[in-house]
Amino acid sequence: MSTREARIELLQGTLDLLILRTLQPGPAHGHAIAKTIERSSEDVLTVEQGSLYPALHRLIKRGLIAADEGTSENNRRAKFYRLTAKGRKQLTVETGKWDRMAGAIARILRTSTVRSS
Amino acid sequence: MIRRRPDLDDLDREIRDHIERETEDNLARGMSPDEARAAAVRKFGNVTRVKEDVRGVWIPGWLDRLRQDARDAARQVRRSPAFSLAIVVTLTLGIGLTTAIYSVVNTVLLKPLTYPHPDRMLWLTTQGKDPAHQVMNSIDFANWHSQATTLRHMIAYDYSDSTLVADGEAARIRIVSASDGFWQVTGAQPFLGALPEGQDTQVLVLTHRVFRDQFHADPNLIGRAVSVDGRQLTIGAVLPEDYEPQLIEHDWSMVRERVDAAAYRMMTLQPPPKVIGPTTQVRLYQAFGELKEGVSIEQARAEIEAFHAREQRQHPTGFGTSTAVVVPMRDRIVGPSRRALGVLLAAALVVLLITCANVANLLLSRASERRKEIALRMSVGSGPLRVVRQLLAESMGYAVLGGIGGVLLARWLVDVIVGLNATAVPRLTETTLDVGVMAVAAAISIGTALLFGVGPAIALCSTNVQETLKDGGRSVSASRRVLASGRAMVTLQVALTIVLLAGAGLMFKSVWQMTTYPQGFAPGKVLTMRIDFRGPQYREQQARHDLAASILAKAQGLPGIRDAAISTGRDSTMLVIREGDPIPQEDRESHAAPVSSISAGFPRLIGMSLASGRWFEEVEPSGSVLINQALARRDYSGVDPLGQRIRAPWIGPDRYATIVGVVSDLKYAEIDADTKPEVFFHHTDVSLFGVTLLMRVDGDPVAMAPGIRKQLSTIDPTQSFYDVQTMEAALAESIAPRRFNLLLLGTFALVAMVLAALGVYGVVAYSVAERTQEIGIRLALGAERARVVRMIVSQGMKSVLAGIAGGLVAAYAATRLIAGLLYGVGSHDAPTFALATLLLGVIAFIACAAPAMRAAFVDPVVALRAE
Repeated sequence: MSTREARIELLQGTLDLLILRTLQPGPAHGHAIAKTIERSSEDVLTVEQGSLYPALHRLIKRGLIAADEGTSENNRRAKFYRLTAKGRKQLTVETGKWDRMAGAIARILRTSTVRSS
Repeated sequence: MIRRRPDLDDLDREIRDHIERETEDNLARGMSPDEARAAAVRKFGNVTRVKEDVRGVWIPGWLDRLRQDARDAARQVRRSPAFSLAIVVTLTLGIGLTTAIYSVVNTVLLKPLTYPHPDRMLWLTTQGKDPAHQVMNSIDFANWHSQATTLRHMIAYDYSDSTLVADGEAARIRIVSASDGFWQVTGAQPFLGALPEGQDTQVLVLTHRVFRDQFHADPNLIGRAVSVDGRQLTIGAVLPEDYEPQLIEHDWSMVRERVDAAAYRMMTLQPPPKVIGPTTQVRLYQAFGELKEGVSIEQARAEIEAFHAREQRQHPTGFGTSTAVVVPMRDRIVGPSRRALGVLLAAALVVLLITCANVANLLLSRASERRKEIALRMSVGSGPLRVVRQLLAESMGYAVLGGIGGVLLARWLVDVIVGLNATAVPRLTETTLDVGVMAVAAAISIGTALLFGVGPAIALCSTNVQETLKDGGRSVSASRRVLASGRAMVTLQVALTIVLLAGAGLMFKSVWQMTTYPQGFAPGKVLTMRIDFRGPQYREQQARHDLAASILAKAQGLPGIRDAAISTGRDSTMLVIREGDPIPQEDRESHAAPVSSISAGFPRLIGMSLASGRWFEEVEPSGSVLINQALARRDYSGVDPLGQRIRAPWIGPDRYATIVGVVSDLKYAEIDADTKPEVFFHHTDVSLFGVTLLMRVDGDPVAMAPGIRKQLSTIDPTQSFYDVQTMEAALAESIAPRRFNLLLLGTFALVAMVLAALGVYGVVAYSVAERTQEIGIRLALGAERARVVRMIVSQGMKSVLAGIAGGLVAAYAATRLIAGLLYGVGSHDAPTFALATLLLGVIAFIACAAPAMRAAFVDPVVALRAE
């Protein structure tokens, strides 16, 4: 049970960050966010699209994004999500953290490669 | 049941929209419409789970789970209404009884007194060698009042039953006279008028009750003149409705009464005498004080004890040595009932425990039905924790319903208890179900839920999933475990019930012994009423004697009255000093005896017999006395008391009275104490200030009372008769607390016994149901029915007998605690214990036999087909 929860949490964290990043240029509806994430991660991160929605609501609850009713391209009513000021700040912090971690992981991987060879 | 949130519709729409968009994209990629839709749905994933997850974001997980558990529990409750009702009713009984008793205990023992500084209130008195003999005299009071530095106020009060005449109507009211400071200490604020101060003794202050009932709530009442015992007083103020300071009855009076003041007035204190001698005027007060802020009771006690002891050495009062008594007022008021209430609360908790055992039993017996359901739940991945949680939620649901029922029951019970006898327990009438009590009731409910829920939950969860599913829910090992737990519960219930039965039995025997009257003493046929001679026309002793004589003569002449007599009641105590003996200086109480003045017919009317000598004559020469056997034993062991003389200072200085007769000991005033030595004077020989008239009647005394009273009132309409009751009722009053205890404890024992019987029945019925097939086989193979019955009963009785044995041991220890509440019976009275055992044994036997008989007379063919 605990391992499953840990995995979800990791996924959630990553997904949250990706959503925030996707919303940086401007508001988007759910399907658009899903498509953008898929495209920009070059289909490496194929998540079930449905898992996007719990993440969106979690972010609303934390005040990082907000939802507005709006009309999409072909005049259909849809919910548009946008970054809040708090979300924007959080994105900067998280991106920085992510970069540092990615960098650290990259360094670790490289050193271990050197050692093993 | 749960309102669907509008957000959920929103989410539905959004998800639909998402899938449509994806389908459109897929169509654009060239898929067929079906394919496009299927791929979109596949890509989205499990819609239900997404929705669940989103809901999980909205509602914290634990709340959601709680809601779900509650829903499951509600479903379970609805599915088997009869079973649920049985559980809820049982719980209602247990929780209701406990809550009701707790609210009484809470009020009487825990709630602060209605004084502005309840914790600083002290009861002040002195006691001699006998701790029961407590008085505060005016000399000691004056000393304490002038010397105590630890007290902010010291109040003396006294009360009298007076005749109030207003607008030509006479009413008897109880007036409390109190010294200066009383209003401040009791926190009184006038509802109307202004409260009198200090020396203003001519002003009467009415309680709201009298204001409303006697004066029709007339707002222009202030300043009106009324007559109290023939003296003119002015109504100065009316007190608010909630003004009810708890005052205490006389310590020295033989019959205990609650002070239920109808009016108040100021009292001037007796000034301290300059010389203390045999002629010094002394008054007796009730006294209490309020501590100064920040002073402890111990400090006050140390100070008062010290100067009282010093005073005793320097200025002996001639009343014998005494010690100061300084106790918290609340202890003094409720102290005597503390033990009894403790016992009742313990008994209520025992009933609650039996209730829990019973409910646990019910849940266990149903466990067999539910074992399959639980196994199924666990096999599809419900963790054992989830299952336990769900079962506990169910118990909680029962507990909540039982708790609500219990509080409603308790509200009713409190009314019943208060109605039983308001004077049996001090402060009983103040009992209410307040927020604190509600909180306790809630805590009790939750506690019981845990107590009765955890056992069955664990029993169910340790079910072997595979085995249970395989054999269709009839796992032998599991049912054995359920049975074993059930039997343990029965043993516990029976043991606890024995304790309650033994306690109630001892109480019953006490009261029974008290109300078993000697041959010929029929108090139910004796009507009594009291009259006090009040008013200026009775200042002369002769006028009082004439009135007493005409009342007696008139009563004797009334139709339906076989015999009438008068007595002053045991209104004072005298020193019994044999002729030639010195006046004792120390230990005077062991020479004292209560005195009453009686007419010639009194001893025979109440059923006394003559041990030796003669009765009083109607006209008796001055200086004759009767004594009872208890006094003869104490003061005349080995000597014939007849013709002996005792000092009789009430007739005159250096006068003696001759003992003309010895009467048998009879408990006629208070029946829960041993007969005390007693002296009787002839009523013409002493000063009378009022008498109790006793009449042995032929018909129903209660029905005849108003007519008799009216007839007697014609002698002098300004005098009122009061306390009109049968002697039996008066005697019952004197043991009211015991009756109260007996009634409650008896009820508890009865409830416990019914619950225990149900418990035994349930377990035996369950074991029979489990073994229907086995019994069928036995019968089919030719087993005798009697043998089958014997087998089942003996199995059932095994746990009952174990319970009885354990219960007797526990009762032996527990009844010691109620020894002080018993009378005429030891706390380990063997016949009572035996009777309790027999009673419960027989009832348990019936509870075992009923299902056994049913099993034995079942058709073997039906039994074999049972599955």
